Amino acid sequence: MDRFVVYSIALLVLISSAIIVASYVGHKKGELEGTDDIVEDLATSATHVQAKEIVPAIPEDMEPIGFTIAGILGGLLVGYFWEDMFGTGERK
Amino acid sequence: MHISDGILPLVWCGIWYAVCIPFWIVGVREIRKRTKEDPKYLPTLAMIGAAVFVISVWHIPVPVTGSCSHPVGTPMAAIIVGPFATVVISSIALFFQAFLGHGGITTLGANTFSMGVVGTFTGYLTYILLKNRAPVWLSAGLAGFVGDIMTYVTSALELALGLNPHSVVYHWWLYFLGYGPTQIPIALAEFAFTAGVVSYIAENRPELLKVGVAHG
Repeated sequence: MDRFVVYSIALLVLISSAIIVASYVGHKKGELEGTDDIVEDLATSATHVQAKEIVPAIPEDMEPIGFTIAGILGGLLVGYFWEDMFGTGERK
Repeated sequence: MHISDGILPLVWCGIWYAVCIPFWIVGVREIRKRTKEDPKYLPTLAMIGAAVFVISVWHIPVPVTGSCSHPVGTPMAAIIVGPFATVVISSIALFFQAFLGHGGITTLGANTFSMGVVGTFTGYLTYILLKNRAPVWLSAGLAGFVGDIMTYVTSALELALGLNPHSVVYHWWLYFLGYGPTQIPIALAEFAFTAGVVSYIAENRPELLKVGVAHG
């Protein structure tokens, strides 16, 4: 493994750790509302417009499955092209 | 910055779509051109697109304000793959995010304009202006910070223009105050990861960055 791959794996671990820590903080603090929802509520409260669901959103409990499938497909794609994108050419 | 369907009047949805069309046309042409020049460009673009998708849907809690928000990732993408291509990939990311309950289809133009156009170009221009005057990490980090904040400034403006045409400036400020306190710590995080990623690529694979800078 060259330094770039090692660094990428370290970055992966770092980002995953940050996600886990953020999830833990979110869990301990309860459901934290997103600023998008806060501002939309503020905007709609005075104007009487309402958000509408035009496209069917994936249910929240299905999101981890969706992200897992996307992650597997994305990982296969990046893995397939990894040498083309980041390879030093030594192994060719 | 994800504005949902039904929030903006249809006229404004159309206006924001119309504003984005030139950027999409130039972006698609740019992607075609660069793909012919360099076969590595398309998989790199796909990977950066996936990164923008994840970064811009990943809500980070800010316990101090009791709410959460997300970075945008488009300044980093613009430095690596170029600004017009970033507009295209951010639109694709925003389209799929609509199926996760973030944003919408009628507001895709408005969301693309704030994150994909303003976030991208303000971040990219910050990087271009600073890259010969400051270290790469600082130029890239400031690009991330500026692009992040400007995305939310633009979203607030879109809401004010669409919903409060008689008091745009007041409501622009009001809506930005809804985003700002949570967004500033997130923008600092965006500073850190944009600085880290870009400076590492600049040091180890500078040819990847040249794509974004030389042709931008």
